[in-house]
Amino acid sequence: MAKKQKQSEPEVVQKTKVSQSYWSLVWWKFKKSKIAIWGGVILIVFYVSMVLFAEFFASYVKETRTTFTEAPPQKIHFIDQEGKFHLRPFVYAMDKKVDLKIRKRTWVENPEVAFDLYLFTKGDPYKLLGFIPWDRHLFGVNLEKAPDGYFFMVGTDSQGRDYYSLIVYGGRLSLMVGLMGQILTLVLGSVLGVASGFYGGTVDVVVQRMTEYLAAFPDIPLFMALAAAIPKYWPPIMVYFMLTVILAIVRWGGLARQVRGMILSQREREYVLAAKSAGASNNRIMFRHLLPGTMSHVIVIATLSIPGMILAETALSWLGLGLRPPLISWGVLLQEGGSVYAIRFAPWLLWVVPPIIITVMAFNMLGDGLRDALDPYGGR
Amino acid sequence: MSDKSNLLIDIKDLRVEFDVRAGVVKAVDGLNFDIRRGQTMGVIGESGCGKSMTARAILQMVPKPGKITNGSIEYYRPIMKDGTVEKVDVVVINKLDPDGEIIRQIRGGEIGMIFQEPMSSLTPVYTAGTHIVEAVSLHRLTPVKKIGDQMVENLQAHRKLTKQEAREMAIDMLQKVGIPKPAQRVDSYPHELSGGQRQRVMVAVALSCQPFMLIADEPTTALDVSIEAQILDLMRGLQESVGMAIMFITHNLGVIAEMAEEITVMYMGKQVERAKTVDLFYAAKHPYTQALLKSIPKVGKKTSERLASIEGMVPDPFNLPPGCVYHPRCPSYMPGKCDRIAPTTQKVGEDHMVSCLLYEEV
Amino acid sequence: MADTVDIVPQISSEEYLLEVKNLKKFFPIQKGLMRKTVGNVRAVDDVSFFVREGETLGLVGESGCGKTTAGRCIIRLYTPTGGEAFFRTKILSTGNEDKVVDLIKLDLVQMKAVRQEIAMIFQDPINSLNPRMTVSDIVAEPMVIHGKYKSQESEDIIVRLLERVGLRPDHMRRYPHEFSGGQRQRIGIARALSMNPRLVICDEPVSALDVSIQAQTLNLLQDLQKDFNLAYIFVAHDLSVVQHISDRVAVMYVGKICEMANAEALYITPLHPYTEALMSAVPKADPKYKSDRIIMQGDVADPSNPPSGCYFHPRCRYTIDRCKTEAPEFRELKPDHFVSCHRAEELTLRGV
Repeated sequence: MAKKQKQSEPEVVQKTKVSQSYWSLVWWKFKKSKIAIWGGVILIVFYVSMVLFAEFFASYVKETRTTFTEAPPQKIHFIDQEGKFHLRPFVYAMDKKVDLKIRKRTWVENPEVAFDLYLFTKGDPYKLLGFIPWDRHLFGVNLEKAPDGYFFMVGTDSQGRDYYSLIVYGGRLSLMVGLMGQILTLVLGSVLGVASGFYGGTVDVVVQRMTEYLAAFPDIPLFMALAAAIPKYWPPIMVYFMLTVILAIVRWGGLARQVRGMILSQREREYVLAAKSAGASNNRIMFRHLLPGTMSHVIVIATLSIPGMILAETALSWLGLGLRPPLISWGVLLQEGGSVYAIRFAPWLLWVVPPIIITVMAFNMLGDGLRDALDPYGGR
Repeated sequence: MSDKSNLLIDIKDLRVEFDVRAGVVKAVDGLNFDIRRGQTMGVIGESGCGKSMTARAILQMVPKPGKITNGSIEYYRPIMKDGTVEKVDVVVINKLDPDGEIIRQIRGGEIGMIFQEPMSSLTPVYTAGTHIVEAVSLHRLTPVKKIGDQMVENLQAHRKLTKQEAREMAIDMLQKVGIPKPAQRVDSYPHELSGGQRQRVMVAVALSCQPFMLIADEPTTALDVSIEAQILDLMRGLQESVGMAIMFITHNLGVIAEMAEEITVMYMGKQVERAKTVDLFYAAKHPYTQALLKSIPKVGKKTSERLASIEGMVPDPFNLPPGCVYHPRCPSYMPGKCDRIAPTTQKVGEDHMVSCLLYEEV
Repeated sequence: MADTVDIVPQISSEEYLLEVKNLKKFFPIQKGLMRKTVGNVRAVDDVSFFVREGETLGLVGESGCGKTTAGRCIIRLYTPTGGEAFFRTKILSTGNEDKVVDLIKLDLVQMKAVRQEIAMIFQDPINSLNPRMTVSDIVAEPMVIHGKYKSQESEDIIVRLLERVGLRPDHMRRYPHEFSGGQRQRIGIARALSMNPRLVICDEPVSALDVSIQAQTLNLLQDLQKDFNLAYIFVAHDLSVVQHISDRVAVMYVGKICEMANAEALYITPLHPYTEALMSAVPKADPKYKSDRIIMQGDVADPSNPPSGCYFHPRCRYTIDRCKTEAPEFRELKPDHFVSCHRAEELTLRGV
């Protein structure tokens, strides 16, 4: 039987002078889980680098196309032809060569021409965050020293675009779709879930039937139908927006059910009755008393669902039903990279997969840590 | 201490501690009392005083991270033969393996326990009958006459009960605890029974194995007054007919006045006073006991308007006051003494022990 | 006591603050796929009582008697099935005089306004406070709800309230889980007082507290009553607590009031057999007391299927035939002493 901790007399010194609000307790407990912190760090790195500052982290601007189509990743060297060690890494230029046997153009290193790699190089100009003009990139070839230089860390695709940069740009859209979609789901699901749980009766029945119909539909055909309904002539950004909305529409039901369940159990609690007896309106009870109590659970559920959204977008785009070129997302990249041809002849195109896996894992790690931190009162 | 011949449980200097991150909580801190066969010992105290933990310790059921860190609980285990006590084994309970065979035989079979919340103590998916059947099947044995031995002395072997026998025993028990229509009720589920009936089922389960002692932890706190009266009557009646000892834990002074012959008062894991019931109520020596008795409203003529309440609050278990744990709240506090020296148990009358510096030479 | 429905709400006496007449609350029992109503739980079944200003009425009874439901009906946490609850309000009156309204017939806007004058204290110290709100938020909430919250002024009021109930100003920023049960109840009491009510419904406020904390809390409630001239409806099952704090007591059984009288009179000279049996069932904290207890047989009656005639007749020692067929009337047998029993005049019952 756990011991009840009774509050001590004023004379006895309080151990904790810090705020004991629920969220501060949650944070304190969350900090203890190394895994969760790692998950959080990875996600922060990804989101900052890919969503906010993609142009800086990428080597080239999105639109850059070169003639180096389907080139493999350039090897980074420290020791040159003569065996001399260079502190600064460098890459060799590539020359086209036609392989008659397989009837394909291939690329071969040209040891005569070397490009040194630098950090914070000047490169293609862009607008950071959309409005700050800049032209520095995290790493690349110094174009002043070698105006014809190039560095394709992960090779190029069939249009000669630097694949590494594409992955970074792709991350921007994929990560954002996941996040935005989940936020929408959260809002929709919470509000409807609260209303459903609180009012009961007809409202509850209607909302529940809706969630059930949606849940009963097989996922993929539903996505396909909704995605196919997007007119082809819509600008890509609208397509992107609609896709987010579609993901939210399909997925809000699960969250709403969870919220409803929690509301049902909290609805008859005495503090709710106390608020009612003091004259609180239904809205106040729902949004000031009941919903905040569910927020912690909701956040965990949401966090753990984001990977699902990212994967859904990936799958849809891969099927050609989600985002389409010229938009770049991981799913769109997978379209090209996931073909048998690519696997055989340009396997570096599969490098889009690890970031997806890392993202999913990071969200799961974070979500698990959050879930454990959720009950900071622990055994009261 | 008086008459040791009928000793059943002897607790010596018991300490139960919980090692939690913020420190060590002494749930039970130096407890000494004994229970004799057929006696009712009341244990009274407020929440956090350690009374329930004592009960768990007796059954070697202290939950983690709690541990019995000191002292001993000696169980003078009667070995029965033909309905009389043949001999007595001394079993040191705190040394037994908590999952082992011996303690499991003792639990339920020799020492029974009933809890406060009848709804959560009964398994919702088992009928009333199943609960009792489970208990008796584990513990009760029925004598067997060897075939063809009528002429020779009856070699009383024992075997476990058959399903049918167990069921009949269950119905019999239900009737003994006063449940109407026991043959039908035996198949009822807990949620189909009222609170009072559920508690009767608990009593039936506990008593079905004819234990030597019953530990009752707040058994009537959750019940209505009229039902409480019935259950208390029942317990007393069964105790008389079976000769069972009862350890009655409660915070209700009225109930304990009725049920107990001797009372131990606990505060913050320590025993502050122990006396025969009449002595406790009419000649309480410890300030806490006196304050407790004065703070309960009594039914009858309306007396003064205010209740004499105890000052202050129960101290933080991690920050216990030095010396006597009760001194910050004690009206008889002696500065220089009570805040420096911890009292020891003193005898102040026949069967009357107190832990208070007022009665100690320091 | 058959009353015609008043068009103008009227209280029988100048002294009464609240007068409840023929209050009923039934909960329908629904079975089957089509949710047909097959019966009713008669939680409150034709109950009438009154409370004077500054006085405490104790509502006592065992589980299922309807005392909690009755209290909640008055503040309209439940919508009563029938009856009237006349209340003297200052808030809804236009002049300086009190106005009498029927709480049950008020519309939502009016009821919300009247809630400033009627407050409630709950039983469970853990669940009656929102764990995510600070103490000052909790106490301030009624002010916020009624639009009366003004930053500095109201903070001062809250500080004074907290000090009045025995807490400290630095408790304001803390959260409920940092307090003990007794302290949480004090927070609940401070919350109830924040709008200066005239009537406070106390729903088992000390049942979940330890004995020593009970005493402190009861003392506090009595002090506050004197200071603020509060009327209490004190709902509880502990007879000794109820007698201590109440001026008058009503005993309920299965939705009906058996007896209502001045506290001392009820406990010493009860007129109803149930009251008598209850008094004798209370365990006395006195080992020398030779209890000649009246044991009531059987269980408390089922409010969804009550016995015929007088609800108490199956458990009553003094039952006669009439009790099985005819429900007794709730009448004033002696001054300010109401009882509903056919044999009340002839029986001499034992008190405590």
